[in-house]
Amino acid sequence: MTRSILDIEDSATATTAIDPEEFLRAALRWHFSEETGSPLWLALAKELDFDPLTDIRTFADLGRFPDIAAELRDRPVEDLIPRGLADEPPPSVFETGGTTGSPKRLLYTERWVKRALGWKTAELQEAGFPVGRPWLVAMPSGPHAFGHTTRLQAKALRSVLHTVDLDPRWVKKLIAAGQSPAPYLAHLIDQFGHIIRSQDIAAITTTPPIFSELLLHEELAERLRGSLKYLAFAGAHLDEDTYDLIAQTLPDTVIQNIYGSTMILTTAKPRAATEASATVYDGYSPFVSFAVVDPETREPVEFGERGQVRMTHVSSGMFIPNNFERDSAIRVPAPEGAVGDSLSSPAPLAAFDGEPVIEGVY
Amino acid sequence: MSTGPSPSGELLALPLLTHRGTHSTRAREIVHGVDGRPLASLSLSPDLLISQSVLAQGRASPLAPEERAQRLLEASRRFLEDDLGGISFARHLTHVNQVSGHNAPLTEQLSRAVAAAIAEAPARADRARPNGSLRSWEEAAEGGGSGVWTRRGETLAAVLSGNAPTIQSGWLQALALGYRVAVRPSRREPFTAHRVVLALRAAGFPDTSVTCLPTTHEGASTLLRRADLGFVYGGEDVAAKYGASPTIKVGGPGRSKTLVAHDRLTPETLDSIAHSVTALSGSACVNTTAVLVEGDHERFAHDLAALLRERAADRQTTDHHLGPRVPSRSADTLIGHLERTASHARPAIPLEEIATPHPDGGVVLGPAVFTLTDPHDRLMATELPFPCVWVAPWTKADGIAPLRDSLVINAITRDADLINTLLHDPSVKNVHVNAPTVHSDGNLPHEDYTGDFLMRNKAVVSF
Repeated sequence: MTRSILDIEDSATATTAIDPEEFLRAALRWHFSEETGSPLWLALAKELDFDPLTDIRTFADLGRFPDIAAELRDRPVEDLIPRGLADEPPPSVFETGGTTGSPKRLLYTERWVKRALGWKTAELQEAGFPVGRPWLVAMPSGPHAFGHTTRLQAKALRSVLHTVDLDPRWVKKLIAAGQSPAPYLAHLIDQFGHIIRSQDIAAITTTPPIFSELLLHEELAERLRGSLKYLAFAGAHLDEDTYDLIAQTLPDTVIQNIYGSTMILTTAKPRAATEASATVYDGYSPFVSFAVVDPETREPVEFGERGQVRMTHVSSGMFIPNNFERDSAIRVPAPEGAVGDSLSSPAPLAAFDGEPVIEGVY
Repeated sequence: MSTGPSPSGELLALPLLTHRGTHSTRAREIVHGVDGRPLASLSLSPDLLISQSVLAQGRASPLAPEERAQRLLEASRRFLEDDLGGISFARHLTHVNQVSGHNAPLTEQLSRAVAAAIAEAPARADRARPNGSLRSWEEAAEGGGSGVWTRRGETLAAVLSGNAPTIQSGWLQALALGYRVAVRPSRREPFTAHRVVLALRAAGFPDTSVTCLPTTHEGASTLLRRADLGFVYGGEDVAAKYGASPTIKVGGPGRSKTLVAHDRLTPETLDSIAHSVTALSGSACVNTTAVLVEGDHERFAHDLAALLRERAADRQTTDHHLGPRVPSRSADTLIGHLERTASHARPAIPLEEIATPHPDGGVVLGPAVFTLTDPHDRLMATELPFPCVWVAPWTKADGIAPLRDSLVINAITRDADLINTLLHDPSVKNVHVNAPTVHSDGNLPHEDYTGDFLMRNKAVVSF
């Protein structure tokens, strides 16, 4: 008998793999049926020059779908909610950073948040996160997902969460206007100082430029040398030389590079036992998958070659089949049985769609 | 020990010279000779290391003044005599020659001038000290009180260009005055700065006194932001970006010019102007790039062209070439630029003569002479990095407007009023009276004395 996407999602556990093709067929039925699909996809379907239900067979075929970034920027979020989830609790709305133009809105359903939380807490524990000890997260909250998901993770890991808020959009505006981000950085470091001096911080998650700035404050760096067990970087590119310097300064700290995108509603899975500066990132097949393609031809590059990152999210809550990121990465074979590619050494694309990419401190 | 590209293709490695020794990075840039061959692998400093270095330098104390002077003398000697980083002075000259485009004798002359700049840095810096200021507070306290010459800051960032090795002389004066200096060398010619810093360290300057941190454009901004004061050298774009900052001194475009009065149109004048056009490969900010002639400017341009052609004859394919040797792609770009922008100027030397392929690779550029009919023509402010000069007519009625915005004016005239007017024009930085624009002995102000920017005066009184 044909299972619905909700059935398949419910059946997925850490030990039972999902058949990607069955999952994809169920997802297409879900998102392109009048009873269960979102107004957005039902409207877009009319403009497609193919039939999603019969012409899309594999994950590679998802490249035929249009990039829906513009729709996510301008549509009312009600249009994004699949009708099949009408009776479920309302989803959370989070926005992308707005690195390339105005932000895009994404829906995080309860079932998705729970699923992603399960993955992340398991990975954090496996990586050596100091469970039950104070965690300082300086990442964007407000419209951004990161601050909210880390709060849930902290609860699940029984750690007290301390936060410093970040407004990446303001920083990007400053930089775009030719102004120095230094006063804003100093404002953040003041807040870090207050927390680090008074709390026994064992884990930190923040961006590389902010942590680099923090390390320049000898007193704070010294305190962290004694207490910090886990350090995660996210939000901005970390070059290998900076990683080396930080790793030398904090020899007893586990350092992880987090790479993700609001467009896939989570972060990639850092493959265990890879050196932090050469981390290989896997997707969560079949929900989240990557492809590394030539920016011009949009054909896959060879393994070991650098290309533009294409991301795909497929779940009952959202269908983002063909999203091009502002990043390039080296194409690495995905784990056995997983769809798509894995990534290594993600880095910003110099410019995307003509708009210069401003990274700032985020 | 690596001494440049070996037969196996191994490149000379230039590590960073940080506040705590040497450091090689994974981010590298290959330094190429003008012939296109790779010469060296240059480590590029990440922002974090730049910040760590400059902050550590700020926390460190300078050596005492006498010790600085003594070690500078020793460093000057070591620069010429020692193997530094495994490289002899002779080998160093080869490297600089391969990337800078200066001919072999000029490369050596300028590199020896760097040694002089190291040794003489304390004396050169001291020329800026006001009559009313003493070097130490003890001296001031002993007398009836005095101004004391003191640093405006503790750390200096020096973001260099690669035109001439002697670009080091500014920051060397800062070091002599007790600043801790972080040098970001040109990525085209990093060898001189690297060797100077090695010589200083060999002579006993601590690693925190002076660092050499090649980095990207973004890294250079970080360096300038972290240091108390900064020097930065470049063209119009650099001047626009940093010109407004009170803590950054910009070495901007030169646009140096020579004016010849009607009664001074002599062979000596011609000779002096030819020298001002071609010295230093014609790529320095003090090279004459425009000549204003009171009289027959066409005739003057014709004579200047003849003299320059004669000087260039038979040299352009030797190691004494007149004008810089540049990569052929740069030559194409420059000539293309000339053809597009100078179509209304009349070449006194045919354009096809101004680029000569060199047997060792690359192309030797210049000399080029053009005439213009209007002294206000915007081409008069066009400064190209090879011997290239614009000649226009000038009369007293034109006034000094065509001479404005110049680093150096050589006024070959007996007109004292004109000289006075030039001297008091705020956009004219230096006035030579019948002395080539390229003349300098290291003691003259360039864009002011370096010490004017680096130092201030504080009253010290003790009863």
